[in-house]
Amino acid sequence: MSTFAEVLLNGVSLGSVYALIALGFVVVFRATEVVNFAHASLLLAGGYITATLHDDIGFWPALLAGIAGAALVGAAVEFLVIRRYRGNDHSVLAIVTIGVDILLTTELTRRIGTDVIPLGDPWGDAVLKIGPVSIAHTRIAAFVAAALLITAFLLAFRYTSWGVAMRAAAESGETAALMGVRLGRVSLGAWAVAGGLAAVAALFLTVFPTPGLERATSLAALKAFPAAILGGLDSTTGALVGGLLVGITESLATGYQSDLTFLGRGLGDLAPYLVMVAILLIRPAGLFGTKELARV
Amino acid sequence: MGGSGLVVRDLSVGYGPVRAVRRVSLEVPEGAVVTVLGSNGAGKSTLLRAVSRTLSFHGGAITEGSVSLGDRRLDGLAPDRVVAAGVSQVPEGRRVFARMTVADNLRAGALGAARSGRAAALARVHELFPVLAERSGQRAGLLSGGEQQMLAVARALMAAPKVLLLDEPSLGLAPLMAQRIADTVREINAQGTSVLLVEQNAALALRLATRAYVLEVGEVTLSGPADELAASDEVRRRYLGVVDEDAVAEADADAERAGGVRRTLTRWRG
Repeated sequence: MSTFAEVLLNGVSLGSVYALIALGFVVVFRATEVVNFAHASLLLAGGYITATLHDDIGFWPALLAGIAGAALVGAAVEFLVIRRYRGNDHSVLAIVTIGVDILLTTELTRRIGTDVIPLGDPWGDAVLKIGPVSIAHTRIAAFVAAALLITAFLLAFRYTSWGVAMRAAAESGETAALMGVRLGRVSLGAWAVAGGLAAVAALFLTVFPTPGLERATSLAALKAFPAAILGGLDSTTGALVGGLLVGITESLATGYQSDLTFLGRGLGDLAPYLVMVAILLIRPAGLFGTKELARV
Repeated sequence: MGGSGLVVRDLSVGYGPVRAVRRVSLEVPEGAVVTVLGSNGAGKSTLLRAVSRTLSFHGGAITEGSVSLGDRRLDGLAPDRVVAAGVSQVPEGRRVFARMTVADNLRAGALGAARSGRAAALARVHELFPVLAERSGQRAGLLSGGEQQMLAVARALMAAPKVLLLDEPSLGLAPLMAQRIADTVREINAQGTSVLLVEQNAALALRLATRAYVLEVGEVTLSGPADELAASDEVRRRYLGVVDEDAVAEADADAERAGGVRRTLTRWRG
């Protein structure tokens, strides 16, 4: 029973980190209708900045620098690449983001090499014990940070002018432009926010029990794709639920791997995609996605 | 004409090789209601897009001519600068943000204007359309067609425009609701906002407007005071419809009330 509780708690914590990534993914999709395949490289960029700076300027300033840096990279990608292609087919843009992703990831993995760089977080490998259940401090920090950020984001999305502009642009770019919304600015903001959220996620993907930032970190970030897709690409609620679902599934599959050996090894990495496929079979638009409706 | 009227001069617009509007000139004097009539595809919406600078969403561009508000050139500005300059458009087919609440739709309308005027604009809009205050927490997609049109007009008014562009506000509405919208337009105008009304419902538009232009295949073929146009055989036959006796009679009555029942046109081109 205690194993189950531990696995579940870890799953929720991991899931909230995936939700952060998925949220950035959804924000970009809603603001620009672009499926952003470069998201994992933004995450790697944020993590790399934090990892290289924390020795010199301390952890917290380095984390802030990582967030700002990833936001800047996101904004730069929007400004230098996406903006030039605006008005083109959205599928063209999605493919452009794959190109951006390859460029960024190649450069970052070249810099990281075969190293495993710790991010210098203050939590270390400390473990909190509540009765028979033990959970790492890092997992608690991940959950708290993600919950705070997501709440702040959702409040801003609902109540600020920025949020209103964003939602208006998501529903109809042309009509939003008629209201005086600057679409370029909305799109730039979305990419920056996505980058910032990804940098925070990078931190929690690389802390204990993971050894640190390495080349494969961007692969871990890829699990946020099924999270965003099974939640419904255009739904913020969907990103949260999808993130949690993927996190818990992965945690359960890994935690009970010994009971599932007949399915082979590495089920934890596979499980999120299985869940995604199963959900899309029943609900093709995702759990909370908008169904494509058209009257002829 | 007026100091801050909207002036369109020799405007041509093309979508790629297709020319949708050819050398159109028209003026909306300060405080006036001006209507542009024409059938489907005459270039009415294109004209409004050219003023609002949203042609690029449809792959179109101004090829010659100018649009200005008072001394200020509008062509060449970004859409948000046009709104800030004082020109708001109510797009064809209402286009309310269906997934947002009525209140958020109104907030969206105010995004292009100065923050300081928002409270006053909201008060004005709620006074014009009390139903929007009642429904403020409801999603716009759940409103009736007429209420959505009111919301679309209200949203445009949130930017406190000097000139309001209306693209077919009566489209798809029951006659009673169309009449309500018409009354509201009159009221908005009485409060000092100039109106450029694009309509297929010529009878309604000619009753509202002081001056009218007829657009055919991208060119102005007829223009003059609204009452004169309403009385002209050409307009009656083409746009008011010979069977629509009531509208004609009403237009006649309007014309007589306005005095000077001249049945000749001031200008007749094309």
